[in-house]
Amino acid sequence: MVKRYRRMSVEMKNVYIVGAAQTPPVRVSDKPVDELVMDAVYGALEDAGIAAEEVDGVITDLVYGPRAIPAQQVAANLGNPSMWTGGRSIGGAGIMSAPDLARQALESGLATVIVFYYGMDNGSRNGPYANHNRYQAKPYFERPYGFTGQPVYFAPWATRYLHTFPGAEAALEELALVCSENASRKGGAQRPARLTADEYRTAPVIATPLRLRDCCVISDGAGAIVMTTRDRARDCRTTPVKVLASTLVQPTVSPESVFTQYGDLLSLPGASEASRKAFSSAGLSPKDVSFAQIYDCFTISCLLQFEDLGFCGKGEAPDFIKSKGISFRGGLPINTHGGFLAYSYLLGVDHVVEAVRQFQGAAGKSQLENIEVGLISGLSMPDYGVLLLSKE
Amino acid sequence: MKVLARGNTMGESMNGVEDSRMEYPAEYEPYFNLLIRGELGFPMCSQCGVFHWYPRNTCPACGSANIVWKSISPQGRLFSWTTVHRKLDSEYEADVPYVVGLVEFNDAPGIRLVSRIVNGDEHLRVGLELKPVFDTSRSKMPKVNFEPAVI
Repeated sequence: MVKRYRRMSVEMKNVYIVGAAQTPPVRVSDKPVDELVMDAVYGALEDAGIAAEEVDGVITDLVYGPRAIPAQQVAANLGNPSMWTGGRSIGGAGIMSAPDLARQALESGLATVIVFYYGMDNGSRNGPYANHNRYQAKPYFERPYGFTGQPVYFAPWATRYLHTFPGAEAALEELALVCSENASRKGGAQRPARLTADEYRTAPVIATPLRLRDCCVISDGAGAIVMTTRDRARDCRTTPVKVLASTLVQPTVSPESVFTQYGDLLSLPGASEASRKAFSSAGLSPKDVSFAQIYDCFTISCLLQFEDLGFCGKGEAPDFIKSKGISFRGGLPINTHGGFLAYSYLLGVDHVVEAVRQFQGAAGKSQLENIEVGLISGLSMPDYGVLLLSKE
Repeated sequence: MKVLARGNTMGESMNGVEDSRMEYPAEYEPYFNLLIRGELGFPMCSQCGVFHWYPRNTCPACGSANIVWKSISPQGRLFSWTTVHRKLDSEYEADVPYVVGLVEFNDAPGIRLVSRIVNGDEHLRVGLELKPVFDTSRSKMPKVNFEPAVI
């Protein structure tokens, strides 16, 4: 048995997000991904009113990032190739926990103004499948049976949920309809037209029980946020957004085993732990959340997170969605810009940008009133991250 | 690091069959050597007795490197499934629609095998009893599909 030592407790100092930007939602961009990244980075800096030469730290994804555009290249583009760089992985989980890495760098004096960026070209590469095909077991134990593609990975989870909690189909439909309505209000989404219940039910089946609109869009694009200390944040152009918590949980299940072997396929790995940690470090509970940007790669993965994040108990998400409401009209508004299901799929940096806009009061037609705390979740099987934001 | 599947970790000859099949990573070899003989087996930790899947060099439950392969009764049970309608993989376009499921076994608790479920579209339900349909005829890679045990 390995001896475990108690960790020193570090007092959480708050990081502030002072700028954010996302490239326009599109399936296939006419720009290469490194250009998209720089567009997002410069956009976020402009939003903050911070000059490129003041940036002395860059964070990006360690797994997807280097293929898109390395942190050192962004650092060089900003005019300071010797700046501090840090990495987080993977995907959405890493994105939600990037502010925690920024906090560590800011607290220890390694940097004073940090840019996080995330860019991807899944649209140009016709989907995210190649990422999973890299796993060693896949060509031997999964692909020969046609177990390939993200909808196929999540479909057995949905089958299992609908078997265990009969009648949950209505909740999947509601998630698709709400995200679509939000996207149609927001404008500029990849799926701009408001989906009807009839269209949802008659859309082509992808992998039972998932139909087309249970599955997210595929995108080329990039997003970026600028983070700094409280003092510096006060002098920025925008209203600073306070990071209340930023957590990452990396469970010990391997990424190739997780989709078929994890638990009972009713709870996402790491999600409840990441949520507990986030709420505990912020001194809050799920009841305090005004709106949530939930990782909606599929309706089923979104549904599971209502439960895993602690908004309700296991099996209660369909009732929660129905009785409390998840649209902009009240209850717990989710994915205010339309989420992955309708707006864009940049693994959650797009969810963060929208949440920041909400607190800046700059969300346009999707703007909510009287918001206190926003939750953004990041799922990158098997990792999970939670970000809690508030106004100052 | 890959080795040819021709080696056998079960300590028996493979009935003199000359094997020109695809290459497997070393830790996957026992699975395919069993499959070629129409048997199913999975890695189990000899320290703590827990099965794991997919094959690893150390036990995910206790960390021990003492992994043995246990041949099991291939009678299975359907845990979950999906019928794939969309052509997501160019190699299996001709098969659409097809059923791919997760199969559990009494003899190897805690693990699920990805497999095609054949001849049973109208019987699909959680818990459906299944029997194996071994496909070792191909020159490529041996496979095992499942069908309802009783129709």
